[in-house]
Amino acid sequence: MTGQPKSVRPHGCTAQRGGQGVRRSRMGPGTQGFACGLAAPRWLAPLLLDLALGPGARGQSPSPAEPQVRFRVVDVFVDSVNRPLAAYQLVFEAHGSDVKIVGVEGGESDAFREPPHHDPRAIQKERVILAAFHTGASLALPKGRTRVATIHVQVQGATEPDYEVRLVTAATVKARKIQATVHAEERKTP
Amino acid sequence: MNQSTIQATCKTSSLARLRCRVGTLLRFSAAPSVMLLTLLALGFLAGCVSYRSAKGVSTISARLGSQRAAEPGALPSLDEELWVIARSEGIEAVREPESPGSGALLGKEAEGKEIPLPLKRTAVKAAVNGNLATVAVTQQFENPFGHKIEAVYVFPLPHNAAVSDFVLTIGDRRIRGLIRERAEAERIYKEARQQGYVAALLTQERPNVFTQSVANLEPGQPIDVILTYYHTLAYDDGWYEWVFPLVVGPRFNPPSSTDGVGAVAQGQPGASGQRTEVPYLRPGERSGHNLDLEIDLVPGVSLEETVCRSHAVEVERPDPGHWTVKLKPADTLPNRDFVLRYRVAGERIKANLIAFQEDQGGFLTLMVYPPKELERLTRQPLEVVFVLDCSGSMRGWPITQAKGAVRRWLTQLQPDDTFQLIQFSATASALGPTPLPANPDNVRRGLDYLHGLEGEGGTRMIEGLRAALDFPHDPARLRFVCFLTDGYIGNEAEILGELQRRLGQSRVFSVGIGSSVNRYLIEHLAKLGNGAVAYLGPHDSVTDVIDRFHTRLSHPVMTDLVVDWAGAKVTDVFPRRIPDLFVGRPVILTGRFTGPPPHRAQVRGRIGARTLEFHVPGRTVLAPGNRSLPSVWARLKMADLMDAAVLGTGAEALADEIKALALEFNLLSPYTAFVAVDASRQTSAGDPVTVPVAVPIPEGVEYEMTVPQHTQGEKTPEPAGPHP
Repeated sequence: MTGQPKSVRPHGCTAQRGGQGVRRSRMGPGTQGFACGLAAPRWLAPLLLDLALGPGARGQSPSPAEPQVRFRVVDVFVDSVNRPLAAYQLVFEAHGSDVKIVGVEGGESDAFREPPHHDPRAIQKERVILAAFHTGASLALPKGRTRVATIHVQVQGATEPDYEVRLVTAATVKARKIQATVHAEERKTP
Repeated sequence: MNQSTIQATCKTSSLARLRCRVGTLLRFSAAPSVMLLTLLALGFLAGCVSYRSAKGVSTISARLGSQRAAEPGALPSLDEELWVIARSEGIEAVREPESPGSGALLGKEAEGKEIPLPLKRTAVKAAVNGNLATVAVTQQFENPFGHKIEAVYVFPLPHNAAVSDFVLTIGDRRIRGLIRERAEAERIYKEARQQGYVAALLTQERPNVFTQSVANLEPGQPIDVILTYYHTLAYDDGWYEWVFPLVVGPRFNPPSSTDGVGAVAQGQPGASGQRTEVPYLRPGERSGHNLDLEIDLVPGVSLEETVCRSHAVEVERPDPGHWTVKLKPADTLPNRDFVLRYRVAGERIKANLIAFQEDQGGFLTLMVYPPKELERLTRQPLEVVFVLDCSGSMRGWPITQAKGAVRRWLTQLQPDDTFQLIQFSATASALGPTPLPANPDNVRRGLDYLHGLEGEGGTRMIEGLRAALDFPHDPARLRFVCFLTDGYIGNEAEILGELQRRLGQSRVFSVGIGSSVNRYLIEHLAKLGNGAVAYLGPHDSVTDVIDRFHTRLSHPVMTDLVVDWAGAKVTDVFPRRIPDLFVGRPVILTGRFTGPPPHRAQVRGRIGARTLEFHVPGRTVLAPGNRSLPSVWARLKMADLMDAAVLGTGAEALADEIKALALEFNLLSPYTAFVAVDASRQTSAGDPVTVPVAVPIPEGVEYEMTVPQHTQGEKTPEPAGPHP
């Protein structure tokens, strides 16, 4: 069947970057071989990957049977550890391929079921700034790792895109900042 | 970020507290653009609208569920520059004797053959605060066939609707669509459709005609598409009006046109040769499409009276200051506009200046009422040219109402006025070559000419328009060209372009006649013609409407208005040409500014040879979370650019400008579209069969006279029979 990914790619890991309390997660062929927190130079990644798996493992191309234009689903998770998550704001971007965001879906928890709002100006550059909040009782709010949004994308071109997600902030219902992490994961579709 | 931007809104609820605290938190952690988005999202979601006055006194109000009103008239109507003389009371819902207030149309609906169609239900939920309405429209699709389909539904919305949200709902999953350049959105949708993904596309064909496409609907699978728009309500002499149009009327397109909106019989797609087609159910056919409609009304001041003559409704008052209006279950046939009018306390709302400020400037709106002096003076002589639509769609009661309006008007003219009568259908003709003095003999001649007019043939409105505007003009008289039409044409741009080119010193007064007229055309004729509009339904009193107009015209008009913004740098004010000030009619201007907002405005104009000046004091500043004013301004600017584009000069550059505005403000436009794709699952292989959603003919319109009939051989095969 067309439009389905031919391979399952491991999801990205979370790494501290920027030194200003901003947490990022990158996921994609360029970084997937690295462990969390390693500050390896970007140029080293493709080289090591080629050495380990051969050149074909990098920049995964769609199989001949797969259309050049294809659709993908990327889940975005926030891990608030043991704190109830009431609000978040994050930035999602796609690199390395012609990617169009074609839908923004809500999360798995009832608190974030509604699709989050986004900035229309940013989305024209395939960069989505998402923000959502919930004011219900703490019991209804998710703790730990939870899918807060799903991004539906259209991908065009020979290479698979590289997704980046950056958490701007996360907060409790009392507006206390949470030391949360975020990452994006391309969903394996049947 | 200025701390004061959010502190005023946070008072009591946990929602407000969270909004406040998250906002505080973000002040230290995010870039300005990000914070802006958050405030936007939080403001919208929290439903809080707060106002910070120039004196620093803050008030808080909430919307949707816990809404509290803005001051009526606090925000401009998108058609605020338009003078609305009379609004149609519509077709009165027939009452069942045993159930007062309920409609008897159910019996009609239950008759006839049901045509299986994929649109099951439209649910409308409107929240009206002051003069600002937020409307969520849920279109529920369900495939009644045995294989997957693509549903295509052409439907109307108010022409001043700013469509700003689009959500595809599949089961309990909700996917928000994105605004894209139209061609790009169409490419994405087409690709998703071909690959078997469920997708939805919303495009704008005319300012008041839209197409909803839903691809890969599987048998029996329900899918909802929810679109949200807001608009402002027009206000006139104490009355607000909220309208929800329910069906696109069948339109006449000139023979060479292919870009119009064509009328076809159900099951005959492509027969009109137009880019957009509306399929109509034949007499005796019905669809299973039902309507739910509910309005949450918080007028902000005491509501004295509600009137809904188009449909049977239930009105309740759950809380002081809060009313709900619900459509009765027996009156759900979507074949005419829903029109709710309500009267609020006080004869008129106050003139005021409202601003919304951002870092680099902001947006403002100014409402101007005419000075009292106007009411003490008598009017100048008139020159009136009546232009009657005598096409086939006007046959029956519409032409009777139109003739009645002209008859009443003729008998109200004064001896120093002049008049002329022009009729158009396939061609145009006139009573005479020059305006006639309104003496008793000439009025009698006019009435005789009027008596012989009937409705038949095409709608070559452009012929009537040229004939009327090219008539010689006497500069000593104030000239009115009065169009009486249902507006069922597909070449609006050509008509409006011609109007702008030939207008000269004329003012255009347009009368929309029918239960579901082309309001975009009717109102734009008046708007571009610097005149006024009125609506006449089958049960409206011609006498009332025309007499009201004459009452207003019995006073002079204040012309050549200029506004001094007290030193503030104000630009991009709409409407560009400030309308004349008539007694009882406000003018509302909307613009943007850089630097600090103006504290007051000085208005100067002429009454004949005399110059008159007055000022609008005070200023209200909207809270940062309330971004309705920027969107209102963007919608006005887009409409202004569209008006310029119909003249055909620099159309490409104007289109680029409209597109950029629409993308920046997240608005649907002719050059942008909403698209949503569910990429999580593919349906079975194979292209879906396209099923256009047929609609009932508007009530009062004759099917045989308006929907072209084609032979059986031209009929396009329908998909296989209904899903068992």
